Amino acid sequence: MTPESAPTPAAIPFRRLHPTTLLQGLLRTLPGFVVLLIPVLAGRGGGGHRFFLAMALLYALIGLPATLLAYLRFRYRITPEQVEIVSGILSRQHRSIPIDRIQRVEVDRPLLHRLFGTARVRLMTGSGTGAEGELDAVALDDALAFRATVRRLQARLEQPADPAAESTGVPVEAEEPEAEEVFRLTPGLLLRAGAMRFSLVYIALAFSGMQFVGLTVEDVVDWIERTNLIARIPFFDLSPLLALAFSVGVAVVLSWMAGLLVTVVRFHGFTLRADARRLYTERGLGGRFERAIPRSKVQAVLYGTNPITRRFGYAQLSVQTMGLDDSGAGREVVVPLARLADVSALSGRLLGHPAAEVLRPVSRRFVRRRGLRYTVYVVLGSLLASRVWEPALGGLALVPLAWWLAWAQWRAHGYAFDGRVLVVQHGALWRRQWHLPLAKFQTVERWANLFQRRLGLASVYVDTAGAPDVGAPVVEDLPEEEARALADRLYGAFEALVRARPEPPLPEPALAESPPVPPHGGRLPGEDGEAGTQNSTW
Amino acid sequence: MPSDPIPALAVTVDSAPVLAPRTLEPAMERLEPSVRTVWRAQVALWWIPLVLAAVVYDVTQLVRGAGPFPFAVTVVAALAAVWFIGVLPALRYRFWRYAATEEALFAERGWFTRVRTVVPLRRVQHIDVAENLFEREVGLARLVVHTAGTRNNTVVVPGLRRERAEALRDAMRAYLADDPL
Repeated sequence: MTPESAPTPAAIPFRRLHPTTLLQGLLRTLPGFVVLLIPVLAGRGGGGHRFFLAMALLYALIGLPATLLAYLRFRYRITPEQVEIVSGILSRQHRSIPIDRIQRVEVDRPLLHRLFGTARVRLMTGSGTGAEGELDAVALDDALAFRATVRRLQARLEQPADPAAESTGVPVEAEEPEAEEVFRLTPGLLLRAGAMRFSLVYIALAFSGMQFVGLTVEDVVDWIERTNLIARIPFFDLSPLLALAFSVGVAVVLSWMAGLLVTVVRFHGFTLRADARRLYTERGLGGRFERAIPRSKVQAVLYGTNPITRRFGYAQLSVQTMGLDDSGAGREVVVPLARLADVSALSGRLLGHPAAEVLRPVSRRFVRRRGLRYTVYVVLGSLLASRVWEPALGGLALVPLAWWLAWAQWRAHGYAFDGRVLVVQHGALWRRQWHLPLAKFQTVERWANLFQRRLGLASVYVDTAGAPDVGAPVVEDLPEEEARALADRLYGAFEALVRARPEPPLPEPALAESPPVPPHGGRLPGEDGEAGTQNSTW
Repeated sequence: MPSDPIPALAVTVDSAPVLAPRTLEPAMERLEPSVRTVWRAQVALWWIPLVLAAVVYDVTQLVRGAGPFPFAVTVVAALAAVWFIGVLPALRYRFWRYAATEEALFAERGWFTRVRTVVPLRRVQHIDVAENLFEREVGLARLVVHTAGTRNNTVVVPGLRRERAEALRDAMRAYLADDPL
């Protein structure tokens, strides 16, 4: 029976999974069970014997009934508007996935399923967290029918003229057949990109690499002396600290060369092309790597700089994407290195809007909070380390550095919102500037912890699809009133944008007799007695 | 109020609309008071065995020869238990507020960090109504709203009457307009 033959959504019955789900579930736990029983089966007695028997008993008393109950509890159904899944034994869950949110229906058949003639159905909504709904083991025909039903329902919901979808992109001529080249990384830029790369990771790697090949500080010194690269420097013998500094210097040079090499290999011949719908990047030495990024999937644009590129007026441009592949979220470099002006012009083209030039600083009390926090880290770290290694107490000398860092971070931190794009910048050394277009906002959040409240501060954050968890574009420590006003403005602007858009019609349950929809404006409360029964269908 | 392009679906429960009309400053509602009991029970499930274990540990220490502070571990564990079972659920309840309008779900909560989250209904991917054993016992449920975001991938409103949670879900669904990322 296919669901759409049912008269009304409310009457569509919930279905269970295929009965062999139960058997399959048990089979899957069997290997673990056998491992548990090996000592018993092997006949080796002793004290452990009873323990393993007890485990087996536990499995029989808890594991088996749990599998059975989980099977009995699990129900699903597909109505014209949504897929509903009821599951859970102790913690129960009733999940509703709107049909139009389902991006993919995967039907696959791992070994066990093939043996039993069943299939597994997984529903992805593109929120990037794996399958939002999973039907483990339904009959193959049912699985295929399920997928077909979802597709048919989606086709029905789809509007004839796809509105809104591309309206956030740049209005480039839609008829353009060839993607236009937007950026090319010249050999000169490539070398500069490599040379200005500045990564602690590589320094650490170089160091551990030296450790790995057994290259000690003394070896390096010896080697330099032997090869007469530089004249024998007698003061190496005087102080181990000097030798250490020299070794660090070698690590830095090695890492610099490694960074240069990696950059050249990675970005050799990099080009960026764009048409109305997609961005195309091409890169790589030897093998060519091509990537197409649908412009509608671009969630945010960000500039990255480090102290060296900043000093010379260069930046890197990346886009934050969503739903490009199975991993969902990601960041793609679209310009490895270019003059800041070029980067900003390109980002303006991507967002269809020039970037805000002037950023508003956050409260100066930011420095106090950060400085205190880093001081606590430094002091605690030094004290703890000094219990193991006495000289670590010297770490306390880093306290001024902590305050300098806090101040530098305050200087780097700022935001701007012109009604269309939220710009957030942070990072004292590696600096990032995020450009979040209004149309891609997910949620707006404002918070203040106890310490912030004491100082009259609050933070504001706009969540986007694919945003990083660590280093997210939070506007930290605004004065409370400003934070409140900003959050309200951000959400207000988002709703204004949404209201201004052509409204997609509400999903019409055309497949079934639709329940009586009240006229615009609703009905008077209690006007008719059916109001109560209607609740469950809408 | 600007012109209303969304045809209002008068979903009603107890003859009152489930969702407030669209506004940026909705009247915030509190959770059901019984949610405190649920939270307490959940936390007690962990803390009471822990306190008992502390007592056993202290008694065995006492038998072996008392140190300077007999029952110190018990006292610490008991204080922590009082905080987590007795005080914290009440604080959480005190600061929890929510509101659901035809445009968004508003959630305010937190004693230490006070958070206000606005989830536009357009951004909702799917909705769960979930309940655990304790919640079921007092007829409560959680409304779990999923978005495509990262930090606010899931926003949970606990302590709703089950019927209320279901009504909210059903009412919200009509407003989850298709809005491609």
